[in-house]
Amino acid sequence: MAAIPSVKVAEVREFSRIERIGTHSHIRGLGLDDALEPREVSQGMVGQLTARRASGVVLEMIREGKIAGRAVLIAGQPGTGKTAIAMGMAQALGDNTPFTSMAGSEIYSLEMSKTEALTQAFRKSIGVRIKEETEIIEGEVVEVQIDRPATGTGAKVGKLTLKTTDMETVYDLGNKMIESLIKEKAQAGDVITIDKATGKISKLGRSFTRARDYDATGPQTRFVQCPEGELQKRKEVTHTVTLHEIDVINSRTQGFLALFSGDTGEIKSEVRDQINSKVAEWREEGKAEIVPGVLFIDEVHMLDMECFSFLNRALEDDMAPVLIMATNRGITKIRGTKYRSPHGIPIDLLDRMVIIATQPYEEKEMKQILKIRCEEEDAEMQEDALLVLTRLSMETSLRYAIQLITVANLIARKRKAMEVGTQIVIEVLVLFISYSFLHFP
Amino acid sequence: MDIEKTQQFLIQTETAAQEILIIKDELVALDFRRQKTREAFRALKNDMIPGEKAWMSVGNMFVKTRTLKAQNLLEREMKELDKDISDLHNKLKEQVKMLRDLEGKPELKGFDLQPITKEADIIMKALSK
Repeated sequence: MAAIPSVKVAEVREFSRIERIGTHSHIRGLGLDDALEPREVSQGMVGQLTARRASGVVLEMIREGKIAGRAVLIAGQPGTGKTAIAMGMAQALGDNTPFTSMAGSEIYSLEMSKTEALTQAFRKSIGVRIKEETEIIEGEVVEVQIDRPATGTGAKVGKLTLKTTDMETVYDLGNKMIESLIKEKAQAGDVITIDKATGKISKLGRSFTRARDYDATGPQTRFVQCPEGELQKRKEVTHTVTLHEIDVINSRTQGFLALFSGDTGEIKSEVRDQINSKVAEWREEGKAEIVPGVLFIDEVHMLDMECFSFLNRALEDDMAPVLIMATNRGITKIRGTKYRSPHGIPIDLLDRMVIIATQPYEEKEMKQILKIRCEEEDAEMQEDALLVLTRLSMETSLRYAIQLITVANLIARKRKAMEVGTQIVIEVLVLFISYSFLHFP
Repeated sequence: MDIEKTQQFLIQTETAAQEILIIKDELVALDFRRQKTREAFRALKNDMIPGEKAWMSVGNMFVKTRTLKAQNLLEREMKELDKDISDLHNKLKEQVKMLRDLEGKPELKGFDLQPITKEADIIMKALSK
């Protein structure tokens, strides 16, 4: 069985991802300029200037860490861009800040209690930054010399000559090292890395200067440049992990499997306390940094009274993320009680929150959004058809018009038409009726 | 006015960058010495009989000493070199931080953290499985 040369270097592996075209997949950010002023159409966001400006300010405060443990509420009628703004904030924060997104109804599960689900969501949104430091020897192999003892038994001895562009040196090899080298099939011309602490050998590839050595090379061969500088370097890598991940790793021996199966179950509070004290200790010693992230709860009116009291308490914790909530209800009953309150959220929690209101879109903003969605879904729309859709979204709802785009595009393609015309849009209108057209007796 | 400011800025950043390049070159030179000292140490250990005397080059001079003494000297030198390289690394980090400050770039995340290699290794291994 042919062994494939293993390249175990910490590189970013890019898999070709099949990106699902979701409702908000066209959003790349909040579309603000350097002065936090929103541009009319930018990064997928259209209009809604006040709300975007407010979100920009919140975003800056998140970046500076001034808002940990506070709550923000985005409220507005359905179809006014609340989730879009949250998506924009997530994209704008980037990969360094943990961003957890959940719907209010997700906390109701048979496997764990509501408070456990909320606690896990909270801890998924707090990151811990740690660093590891290793000494590595990186160079191009000039020569590997292994001497087997004449008697057949006994340890092998060897010498390994490594070089970089600036220096060259010889290493004496012990038995274990020789075994690893043979296993990695390191030959002259290969560029390898040896971890000084663990003795692990990784092959980075083959040196360019040795590319012409053979007439044909295998499919897995990569060519890299001969390393520069010192042979023995110090490598520092920074990782950001979430508190939840650390919880799971520690709560059972096979914890890492649970991370993928999703069946984390209830994590004991003793484990969490241990983790908290450990992380606090690291913080004191300067070995870790807390990165408060963002927890976005959509449809927050689905949470009941118990959850809200839990949220009140949890926000007071010294390690709490930023809580962004969104709802489209006006004055409704708080779930679990018979009291009515704005947005279905108790007044005491509302008091702690900063509220961003979204307004319904105007006609030209809707037209722009529809245009962006057409581009995103790869649909060529005629000017008249676009006008029809815009009028439709004004009469009924923006989402209805967006959904019609997909359907109309499909029909147009089936008919081998290059563009979607008004005719097709009207046909689709009749096929898929908007709820505002429905009149039940 | 602007030209003077730009000039000042350029002088500052260029000096800082030059410092960094000098330190990097120093690191390479020190590592070179470290590797050569190590090679010498190993050569003494492997090829020499403990009673014999060995030739050793100290700076510009060649000195004949007992093998044991030579080994001790080399070991001490390696320790010193390790320490020097460590110090230089810290100095390099400071200089890089200064340069990034001057250039107005945002701070590198986790730059000043103390490393916790053992625990970090366990965590990353568990997460990547």
